[in-house]
Amino acid sequence: MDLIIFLMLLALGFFAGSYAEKRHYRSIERREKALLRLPAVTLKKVDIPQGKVRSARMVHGSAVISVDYFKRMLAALRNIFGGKVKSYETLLDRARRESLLRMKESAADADIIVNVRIETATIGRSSRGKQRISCLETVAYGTALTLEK
Amino acid sequence: MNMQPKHFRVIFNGEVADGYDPAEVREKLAGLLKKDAATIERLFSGREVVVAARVNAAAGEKYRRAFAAAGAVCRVEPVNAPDAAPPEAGPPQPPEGASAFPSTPQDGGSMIVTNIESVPGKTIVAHYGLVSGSTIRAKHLGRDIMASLKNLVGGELKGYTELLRESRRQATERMIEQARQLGANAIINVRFSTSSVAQGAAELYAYGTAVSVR
Repeated sequence: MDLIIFLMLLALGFFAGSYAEKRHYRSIERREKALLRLPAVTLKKVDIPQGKVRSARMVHGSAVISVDYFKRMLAALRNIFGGKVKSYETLLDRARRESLLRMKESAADADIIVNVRIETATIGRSSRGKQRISCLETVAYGTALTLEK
Repeated sequence: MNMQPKHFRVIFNGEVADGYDPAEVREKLAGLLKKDAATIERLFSGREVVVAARVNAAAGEKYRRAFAAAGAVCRVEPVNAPDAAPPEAGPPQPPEGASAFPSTPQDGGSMIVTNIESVPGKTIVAHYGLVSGSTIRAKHLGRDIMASLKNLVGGELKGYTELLRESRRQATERMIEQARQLGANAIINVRFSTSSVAQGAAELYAYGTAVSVR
């Protein structure tokens, strides 16, 4: 009986998880294209002449994303043999791109975002050190500059 | 040292920003300047009208922002000679000090917050030191249960995203409040950090340097 539940969870994780991931990637790509005109750079100083900047404000975007049951099993297996944990790579990639997009979307009227920083934090870790919910938060933040036309 | 012009005048020539309906802008300006329709109509005559003849830099900037928010484009230019302000066009005089303009709570009122080491286009005149704000949030049970269900299929945990965004906003607000008490009008070099202090609770921390800019 336990085995059946386990297999069901695995199958659910596999199908629902890969479906959700594909859909998320499609949405990310579409929105990234739409926001191409708003560059986000990690530089602190950009070549903008003094007096051309109309306003500066801080913007941020965040996302909390968790991995599905199937991939978690896969990663646990990987832990035995070591090597590249591919299933977690997409998780981090999705979370970072999503938070960058959210930051850009909250600064839609700006011309450039400078000094962008991306931070990652694990949340939902219980005090015993065992991770009950394996999810992580990524935050992207920067300063949006609006230029004089 | 370069002398900064002390006084500015605000000039409006009826220009409406792209994508705004002129009628709507008129209405907004009427509310903003607290003037009747006839006075507002004069502003849109196409000629240059001086909205405020002598204001300081901060008030000038406030005018510019308030006009931009209403969808109108005004020009703020320095008045060099003390007697250069032309009082010929009897302009509608809004209340002095521009305190009538509502501050926008989203960007912390008039506080400028950046995470670079300066405020572009402005010079720092005084430093007030470190300001910080923090908040510790625990997630509630309902969200936790939903999250563990969502955890099976993977994907975004919207409840957590919302929670963390809300807490980050609160931490920022506390930081801004602290800077305001010091008399600063900008916070530069802001950093965020997250740490989990206890089971299921996370601390959101925002810190930066409070400065005064002109």
